[in-house]
This record gives sequence, structure tokens and C-alpha cells, in this order.
Amino acid sequence: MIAIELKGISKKFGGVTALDNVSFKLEKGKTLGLVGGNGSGKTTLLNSITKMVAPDRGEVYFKGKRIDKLPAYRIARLGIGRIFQTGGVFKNMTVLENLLVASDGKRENEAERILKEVALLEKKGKKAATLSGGQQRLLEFGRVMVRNDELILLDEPFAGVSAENSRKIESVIKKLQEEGKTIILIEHDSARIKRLCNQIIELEKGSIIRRE
Amino acid sequence: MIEAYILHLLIFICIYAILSMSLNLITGYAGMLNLGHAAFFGIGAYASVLIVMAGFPFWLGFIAAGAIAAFFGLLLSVPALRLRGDFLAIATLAFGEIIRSILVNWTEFTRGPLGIPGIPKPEIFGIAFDSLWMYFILAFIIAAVAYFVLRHLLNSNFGIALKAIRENESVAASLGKNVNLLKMQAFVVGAFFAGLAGSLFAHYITFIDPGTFVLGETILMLLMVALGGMGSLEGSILGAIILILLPEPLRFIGLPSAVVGPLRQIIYAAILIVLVIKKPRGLLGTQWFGGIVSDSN
Ligand SMILES: Nc1ncnc2c1ncn2[C@@H]1O[C@H](COP(=O)(O)OP(=O)(O)OP(=O)(O)O)[C@@H](O)[C@H]1O
Ligand SMILES: [Mg+2]
Repeated sequence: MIAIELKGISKKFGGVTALDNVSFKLEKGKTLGLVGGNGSGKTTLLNSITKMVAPDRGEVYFKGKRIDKLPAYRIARLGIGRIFQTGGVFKNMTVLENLLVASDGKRENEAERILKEVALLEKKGKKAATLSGGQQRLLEFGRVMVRNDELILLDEPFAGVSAENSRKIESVIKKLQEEGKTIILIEHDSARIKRLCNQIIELEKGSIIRRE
Repeated sequence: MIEAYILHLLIFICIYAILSMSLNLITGYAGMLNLGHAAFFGIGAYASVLIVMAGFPFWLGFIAAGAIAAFFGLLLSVPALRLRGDFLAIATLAFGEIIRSILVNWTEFTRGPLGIPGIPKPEIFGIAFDSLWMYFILAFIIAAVAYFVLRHLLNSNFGIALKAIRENESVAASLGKNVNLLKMQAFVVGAFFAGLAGSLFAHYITFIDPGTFVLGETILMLLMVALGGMGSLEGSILGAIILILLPEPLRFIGLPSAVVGPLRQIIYAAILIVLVIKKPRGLLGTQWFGGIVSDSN
């Protein structure tokens, strides 16, 4: 089954072309590595899927259903979750509250079980701002887990993260893969891409220049 | 005499605690700077008075005060959804001004600037709340109910979601939060309680005029919220207590009343300045209220 498909997505910001006629398909349970230089359009591609920006042209399908006309919150409710390149945690809220926002009514002990999985249980009552960069990333992973998202979009989850937290993040990603989640991973380290991804797309100036 | 004076202050504290808690919901939790809160207060006051003076029972006027204010909260939330930060503040300011000028100009209904005197004290199912003690009990019960209802709401998913949209709307939306609906609900609930406070105020003072429900009043409520702390209900109660009591000693030092009014304003302004410098998060709060004006996300 095709989990996510983009057809001819284009987006311009003023005169800058961020995405130019981008199309691809990704099967359920697979991980796509998204690579490319700075400003090549990787984040904009994720934003187009979650409707953080509205594409100028093109269509997005999730499990065969067209979603690009839906508002962002409805897309999220379909089971599409993401980890942001920056600013993804609510810094003035506690670690637990950050998870409870995502869990929407699920019990606190469910949230605690997941905090344990991402090694943040002792930080439960602390403000998210007090976490390290890597711990903030892990917290975002916790949200994706608590929501049980089917499609998970990861925007450079290893950037600026310590070696130890990188290992934790990698093992969380592997666990999500074992659970059959579909993942799009933006990442610069090619060895890591090789380890984690089934297919690769490279962007340059908003166009796909390589597929593997 | 002294007992009457204390009861009077306690009644005011109850009324203003409801106002500051309800404003905290909109501004402290949801992060929308609302400079029109006194308008909801006024709408509630006028609605209740007009309904009760038309011969309906107090409880009906009281509930209608909340409901009608909530309806105006819904109206104001429509432009509020499109605006952020300072622009939202200006829109709410304009809303307050529109309501004030309606109260001034719709004289058949409101008697305009003359105000409405002779407002009856409440009677609920045969119990008359005509003494200070009785009124204090009524005000206290309503303030306590408001506190518990708001606390329950804000500790639920709703409150957590409001905090999330205050922090970052896009991220909240990416977690499935319907940001527009949540903001609307915040305005509706906040306005509802402000309307109840309006009813409580009008039937206590027994006289209302449009001059009571103006920007200065909203600023006082905002100051209570900021002093107690954005995002803390207990803080809002504390803020109301402090700011109601603080100017009171001025009464006893024999200053002419022409001086007391402006002096009160100066005290409030001084508190605001000290607060911003020394304790920007308020006494019990989590976030600096200035952040709401200066950044949108
Ligand atoms: N909201 C925006 N407004 C204006 N321009 C934008 C916006 N978002 C992205 N751009 C521009 O679109 C282009 C693609 O940006 P994007 O963030 O998608 O790149 P990226 O591949 O994620 O880069 P990086 O590796 O630096 O994160 C850039 O030229 C960027 O400046
Ligand atoms: Mg990027």
C-alpha cells in the first residue's frame, strides 16, 4: 500500500523557488531519506505535507486519500506526525504537559510509559526549556509515539545532538520502523541514511535530482 | 461600620477575582491580549439589569448576563482568529469602545450617560440578598464556583491545549489541535464569566453607567492578571486581592477625593513598572505577559 504520495508539488516564496514539481511515492512501512544542501527545499516539503505551508500547485495523498485541501489539524488527526527542525517543543510547558497535549485524553500513566521509553521520566515535571537539544528531540519523539502516528516526518532529528542522545534517537527510530511506521527522514550524514533508509531522494533548488 | 467596610471590600474582591480569572483564561492561558474585557463586564451588567428591571427573576438575568456576554465573546473571536499580537489588542480595544458607545447612545434602553439607578438587590427563590453579609455570601459562592469550574477546565485537555497554542500555534496544529476553535472557546468562556461578574456588580452597586466599563477597568483587570501571574488562576485571585486592597489606605489619610482617584492610577502604574522590572512572570505565573504582545508565536 502507498502511504504517502506527492504529485507535482510546487511552492514559491516571493521569487524563491522552494519546491519545483516534486513527485514521489512511499510505501507503508518504508523509510525515505531526504537529502540536499541548505535551502534546497527539504523542510518546505514536509511543511507541504502537514500544511504548515500551502503548496502553490500539486496534490498530496495519504493512504490514497487527497489531503492537501485539509487544514493542518485535520491532517495531523489522520495520523501524520512530525518532529521539527527547530522550536518543536513547548518550552514553557512541562515535559509531561508536552506529551499530554499530544495524547488528547489518554491517561497520564500511558504518557509516563512513553516518557520512560524516551528516557525522560525523571524530567516529567520540569519545564521543557530545561532539556538539552537532544532531550527535546526525544520529547518530540515521545509525542509521535503517544499519538501513534502512522506517517512520521523527521526534520534533522540528529542535528546538534550529543553522541549518546543520537544513539537513543536512532534506537527509537528503529523501534518505530519495527512497528511498521512510515518515515521520511531529513539527514545529512550519509552513513546514517544508509543504515536507516530504504530509499533516498535528493533535492536541489526545490527539484529532485537523484532517486535511489 | 468597620464590618460593613470589610464586607464591601470582600464583595469587590470576589467580583474582581472572577474578572481577572476570566481574563487570565483569554490572555494568560490562550495568549490573546484582550483590551476589551470590561465590555463583557458591562454587557453582563446591562443585560442583567434590563432583564430584571423588566420584571424577570434575578437568576434569569444573571444567567442571561453570562450568556449574552458569551455571545459577544463569540463575535469578538471572529476577528481575533485572524489577528495576532498588537493587532489583536487593537481590535479588542476597538470592540470595547464600540460597546461603550452603544451603551452611551442607545438611550431608550440604557438611558445613556445618565446610567440606570435603583437596580434591585437580588432575590433568588425567595431568599433576599439585601444585606452586606448575604451579598458577600452570594458573591463568594459565585466566585468559588467560577474558580472550580475554570480550574477544572484549565487542568483538562482544553487548558493544556490553550497553553500549547499560546506557545506555538503551528506546532499545536501539527498535534491535531483546532487552534481557531480553541481560541473561540476561550473567548466565549472568558466572556461568560465576565458577564456573570457584571451582573453581580450591577445588583450590588445598584447603579450602572457606561463610564464604569471602560479601558481603565480592563487595564486594572490585566494588572491583576499580570501581578498574580499569567496562566495561574490562584495568581489572579491574589492579584485581585492585592489591587483592591492596596489603594484603600488612601481613604484614611484624609486626601480630597479629587486627589485620591489620580493617585490610585499612579499607584497602579507604579506597580506595573516595578512588576515588569522585578517580577515579569508575576507572583505565581509562568510567563511574562509582555511576550504576548511582542511575539506572535
Ligand atoms: N516561510 C518562508 N518564507 C520565505 N522563504 C522561505 C520560507 N520557508 C522557506 N523559504 C525559502 O525556501 C527555500 C527552501 O527552504 P527550506 O527551509 O525548505 O530548505 P531546507 O532544505 O530545509 O534547508 P536547511 O537544510 O537549511 O534546513 C529557501 O530558500 C528558504 O529561504
Ligand atoms: Mg530545513
